[in-house]
Parts: sequence; C-alpha cells; structure tokens
Amino acid sequence: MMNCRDITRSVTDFLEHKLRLRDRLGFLFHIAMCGGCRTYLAQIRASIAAMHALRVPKPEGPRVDALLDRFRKETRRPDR
Amino acid sequence: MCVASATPPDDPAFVARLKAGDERAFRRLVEEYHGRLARLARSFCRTDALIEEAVQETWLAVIKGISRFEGRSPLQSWMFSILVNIARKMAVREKRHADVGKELVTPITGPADFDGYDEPEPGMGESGRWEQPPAPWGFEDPESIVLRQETLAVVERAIELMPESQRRVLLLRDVEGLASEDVCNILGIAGTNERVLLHRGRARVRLALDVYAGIQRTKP
Repeated sequence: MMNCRDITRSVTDFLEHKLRLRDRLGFLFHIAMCGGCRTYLAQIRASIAAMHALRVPKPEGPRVDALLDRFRKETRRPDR
Repeated sequence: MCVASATPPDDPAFVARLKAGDERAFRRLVEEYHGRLARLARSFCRTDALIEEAVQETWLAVIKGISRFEGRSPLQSWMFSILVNIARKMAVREKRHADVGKELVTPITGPADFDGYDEPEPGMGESGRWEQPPAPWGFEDPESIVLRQETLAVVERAIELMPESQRRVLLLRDVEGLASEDVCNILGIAGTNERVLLHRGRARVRLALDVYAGIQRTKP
C-alpha cells in the first residue's frame, strides 16, 4: 500500500510512465482516496505547465547583423 | 495549424530554408533562441563574458554545421547539444588556466546534485502521511498559472537558484520540451540520473510556488 510519502517520492516516475503496473494502480488508488496527495499532484502538474510557459524569454538583443554576415558568407561558399 | 504558432525549428520547411541560406529564417532563429541558449549557458558558465562567448561560439558552429544537419533529431536539440559541448570544452580550458580553487565553469554533475533525494516535503508526517496536507493555491489549473506574470517570475527565480545539474535538466525537459532521450544524450547522463534531477527540480519549483501562494493568502 502506498502512503503519502511514497506518492511524493514516486510522482515523477508516475508522470514519466516509469511505474510498474502494480505501483501505478497503487498510486492511482491512493490519489483517489487522498485529497492532500491529489492537491500535490495537481501542483506538480501546474509547476510543469508554468515551466512550459517560460519557453520564450525576452530577446536579449544579440548582435544579429554580425552573425548574419557570417551566415551569408558561409552559405555562399562554393565548396559547400 | 497557423504558421505563426508553430515553433520554427520543428518545421522541416524552416530547416530547408536555413540550409538554403535564407537570411530571414536565420535572423528569426537567432531572435528566438539567443536568449534561450544564454539561459542554458548560465547553468554552465559563471560570468557574463563566458556565457556570451559560449553562445556566440554556438551560433558560429550552427552556421558552419547547418549544411550537414540531417534532421535526425530536432534542430533545437542539436543546437543545445552544441552549446553543452562548447561549455564543457570551456570548462576544461578554464581549469587549465584557472586560479587555484577558482572555477569559472561549473561541472556537469557533482555531489550537491544528490542532496536530499529523500527530503520529506514540508507538512509530511513521520508516519508517511500528510500532517499538514498541501493547501490548494487557487491557481493550479494550467490556464490560470501561465497567465499570471508573478507566478512565472517565481518559477523563473526558483530555477535560477537551484543546483546547476537540476536546472539543466528542468530547462531542457520542462522549459524547452526536449525528449528525455535527447536530454540524456546532450548532458551525458543516464535516464535514472535524469529522473532524479527532474524529480528534485520539480519539487523545488512546486515548493517555491507553495511559499508564494502562502504569502498571497496572508494579504488582505
């Protein structure tokens, strides 16, 4: 039987689909019965969603023109 | 699917444009990825100068290598793996020139990475049951959490503060969305190791949001 501590320790394995069937069923059963762990799982999922949203940071104003210059030279080389 | 919402590097047509020397495509690539490469570089390099050097070297390698890129892995995986390799080489170089005891580029993994894997969550009782179960935040649903700038800032800060090895895995897996296999190849770590780092990193982010939510609850 899984307890709450087991749930918090195995939450990543659960989300990564690495739990064996028996443990997965135990996880789901516990979640169904335990509000605290349900909240915990939802919060882990929310944390992941928040990280997805960080995907595009503000542009840092790189010296694009200098890089473009190199790109132009490289893609125009006859020996490519 | 509307073109504007697709991430350019996932699109084979975009890769083809890059290979053909399309400057607008390259400019778009730099604008979209320069900051993200710098963010990952920050988990390897200790100074702004080294971060900038690592990213610049990465772009030069991308420019030189794009004609040979075969698309077996996503373009972004390829770019991040170039960055990590460059950061590793810089670490070796800095070690040779570094002052005694001073490290300017952080190693890939170290003993601190395995701190507190069995750390109990705050509120967890000794019996293995919640003594103080997590309190709902009120913004756990995926739609709410991504709309609040403050929560994203909390997450960003939590990532910046965590041990580098956890940060690298979180950045590549959960922020950039790379597949587990790609992340393991890029960082040169085993799947089990990656999962441990991912687990701890996520727990830290959750805890940071939990603390933030607790502070919000006390406000009038």
